[in-house]
Amino acid sequence: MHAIYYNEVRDEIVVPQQFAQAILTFRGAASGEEAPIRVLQGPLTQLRGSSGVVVDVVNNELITERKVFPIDANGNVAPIRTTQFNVLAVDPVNNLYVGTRGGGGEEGSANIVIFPRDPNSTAPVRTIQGPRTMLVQVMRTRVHNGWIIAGNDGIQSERRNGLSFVGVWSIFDEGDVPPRWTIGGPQRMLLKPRGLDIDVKNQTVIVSDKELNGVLTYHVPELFRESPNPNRTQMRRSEVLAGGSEPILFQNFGRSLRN
Amino acid sequence: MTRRTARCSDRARKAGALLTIMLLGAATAFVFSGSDQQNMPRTQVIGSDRIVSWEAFPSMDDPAMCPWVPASASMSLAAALQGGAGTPVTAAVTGERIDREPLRVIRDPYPSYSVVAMDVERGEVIAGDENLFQILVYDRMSNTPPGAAFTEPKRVIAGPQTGIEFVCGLYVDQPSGDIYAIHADTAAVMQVFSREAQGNSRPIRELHTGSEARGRGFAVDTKNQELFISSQHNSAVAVWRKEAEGDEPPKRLLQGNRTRLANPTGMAYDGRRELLFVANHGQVSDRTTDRPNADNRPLGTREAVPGSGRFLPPSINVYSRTASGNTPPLRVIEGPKTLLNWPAAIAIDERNGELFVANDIGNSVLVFAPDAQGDVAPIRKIEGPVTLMDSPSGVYVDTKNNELWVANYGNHTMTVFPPNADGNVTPRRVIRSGPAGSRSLMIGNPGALAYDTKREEILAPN
Repeated sequence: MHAIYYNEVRDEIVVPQQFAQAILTFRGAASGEEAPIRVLQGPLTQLRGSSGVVVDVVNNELITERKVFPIDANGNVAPIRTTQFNVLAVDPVNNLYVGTRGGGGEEGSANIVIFPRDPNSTAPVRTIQGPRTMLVQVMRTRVHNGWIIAGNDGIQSERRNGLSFVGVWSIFDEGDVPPRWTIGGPQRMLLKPRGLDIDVKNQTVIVSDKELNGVLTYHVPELFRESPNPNRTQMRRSEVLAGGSEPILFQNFGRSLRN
Repeated sequence: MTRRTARCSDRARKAGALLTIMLLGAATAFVFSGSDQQNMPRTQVIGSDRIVSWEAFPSMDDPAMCPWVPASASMSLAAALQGGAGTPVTAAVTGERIDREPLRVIRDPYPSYSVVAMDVERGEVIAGDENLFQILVYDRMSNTPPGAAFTEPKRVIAGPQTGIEFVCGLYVDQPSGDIYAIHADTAAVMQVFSREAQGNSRPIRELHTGSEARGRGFAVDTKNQELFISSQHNSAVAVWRKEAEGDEPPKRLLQGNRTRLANPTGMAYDGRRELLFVANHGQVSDRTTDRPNADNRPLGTREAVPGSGRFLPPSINVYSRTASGNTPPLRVIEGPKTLLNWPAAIAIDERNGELFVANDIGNSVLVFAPDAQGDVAPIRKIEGPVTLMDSPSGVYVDTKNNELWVANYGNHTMTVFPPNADGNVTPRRVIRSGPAGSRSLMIGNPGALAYDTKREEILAPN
């Protein structure tokens, strides 16, 4: 199981079963050997063996393998549309998807691609790429409050190379932009970050690490008290340390479902 | 050798506190030294954590515990985690830094036994540890006393150079004592370590299986010198020369709808009857062709037929030794009476042909008759609280000493029974890698994670 998504609006857990080319949805309180409440599987799905799944809780859609399904899809159901890139996260406020392409090579070889949910749009609106991004392999990603929070794996074939971290970019960042913050690395405890989610109430970023075989939580209040400014690509140091010394233009930019 | 560790705890705490102060001091110095670099990129690094969190594990509060440093290991986990902590960050990160420890670290500090094998000739038992990426070697007669924290292994093979990850299959070549290991779906390699290997040793030989044949199960035909590796991802069994190495391709391949392979896991070979047994979890998809690749490597997910995936009941399939291509099994053990529930490793007692199944989610070891077929009940079943059975994932039959070994992934134990044990029976001996009664966290290859905001719970699939 290489993905899991908790849909807090519907209180459901969504996971792929890659060998059986299926997407399973369980009750949020599911425990033990409980059957899923929905199984998306069959020839019409055209699923090949998902290793990722994302839920768009605002538009009630389920996205996997560049295919978009209604959230209630059950059984042998065809996708309602496809996406240009692999989708890692949804920014429902701006109607954007955050995805990735490339990666696995040197630092900066992977891209974060920001592209419209609108299927008629063919080009990414922005791409974050280049050596200053330090991105090698973009792993699980969340978007909150206008921030892209992305796990970066170091070179997969190497262990303990110190390149792994969780990076934070603005949804407005473009080009060769270093992360605004890095969490747990580089050269720190994270070795192979895999899963990632946020706890808004406790202002933490939660990361699972394949090599540590563990789960780490980082308290990062900066992420939850500020929103990125679309007019600048970099924040000033005083802003960050003081928690935002200038008026924040998009205080309500991110519609956290908990607020 | 077993050691008691109560006296270590105070010393460990002091050392941990000193290390914390040193790391915080170093972090503070780095913050100030970086503060005048106003024109540099504005990255803030959060997370100077490393070994500090190790001291904060709840389990370390147990006064009977201190960090485990096997006498024979060249690198402890703690030392490994500290490796590189003092290394300057890469040039790209030259901005400000906010050093911050993780609020919490959820991690099992003890080995979790995932698989077991034996060097019968030398009286040693070899265990795979998927939690800390190790192979542990114990004396066969070790028996952890109830009051001891754990039994220290005779040898530990661990460290970055070993390449060991999620050890899910082990085989010991009895004449030489060489240890063969495979590592689930995270490493497309089979490694061979010498009998004397310990610490951060490189394998003496490697077979690159290719990503399509990343191994989950393992069996060896010593008479014909062949090696069977099951591919969980592609529902296939690939067969190599036993001494194969490098990029050598398989000799033959078993794959296709008629094989009824479906997420195959453990395997066992019955040399007397020349039969191959394969356990299946039961998830599979079709491939676009029945023709194997020219080099006998399994057809991968690129050849998968979209939307053809399906769930099947768990099963044990039996094949002839030379089965290849899209060949059906000779017989299949499958159905509700079998009690199969995520069958993991399996083993054959060649003396009588009985089949032993580590029934992972069933918390039991099931024993089937030599001719079992269809929806049949096991002839014996080892389960119950006295057995200490907890997510058993490894099983081995030692015919020389007439013993059955079980690796319990769920509670830091390996247990030993007579092969004819039945029901809720006490193990003859127990080797523990953690305190008595401690459950393993069982976080293994956590490839994803989610936070349940309603229940304030972290969901970690494995």
